[in-house]
Amino acid sequence: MLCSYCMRLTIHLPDDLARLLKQTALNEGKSMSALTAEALALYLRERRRRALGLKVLERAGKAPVDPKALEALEEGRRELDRP
Amino acid sequence: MSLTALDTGFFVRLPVHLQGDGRAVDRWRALVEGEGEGVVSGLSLVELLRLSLKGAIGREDAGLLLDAIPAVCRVVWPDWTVGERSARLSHGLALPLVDALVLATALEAGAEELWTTDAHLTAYEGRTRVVRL
Repeated sequence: MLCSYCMRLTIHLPDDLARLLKQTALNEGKSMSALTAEALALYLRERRRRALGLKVLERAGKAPVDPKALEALEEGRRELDRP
Repeated sequence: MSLTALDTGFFVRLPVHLQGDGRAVDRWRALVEGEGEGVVSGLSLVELLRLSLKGAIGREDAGLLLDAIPAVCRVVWPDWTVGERSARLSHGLALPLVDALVLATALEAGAEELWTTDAHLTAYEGRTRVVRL
């Protein structure tokens, strides 16, 4: 992967993981850089998804929500339909 | 993999329901654990931001929801396909426009269920089951 906006990064991988990366890249006709970037993006996105999702759950029962919030939501929707 | 559409009210109920039926919490936890996929209309993000600006939801918690929803769920903004379908739903079922846009988003996405707090949406009976919280 050669691009003007890519950062060059040197990483160290265990031998068996490096061999698996090389073999998979070869099988899929991708460069090791491209496959590494793809895997890392997927992994980081999934970590973020899970972390944010769990953070929302941690706030359950603690977050300050106006008891009339649902009424305010309903009112907002009705506003758009007033003649 | 099952697809669940979530309306704005779901996210208003989510932070306050540690006890009670807790269905919103359980559904959200399942989505976070990768059991099924969630779809949310972009309009829900707008409504949550608006509720936060009005002080109905704490700013920090609204900010967290606005970050977490696109990370956990697929956010779909209305296009003409959704717009046209929502106009027909709104006319046919006498639904307020935003309700119809949310329902049309769920139908276009192929959601099996639409979780909502909105009573008007229960007027819909079709292949997407409306679950009223």
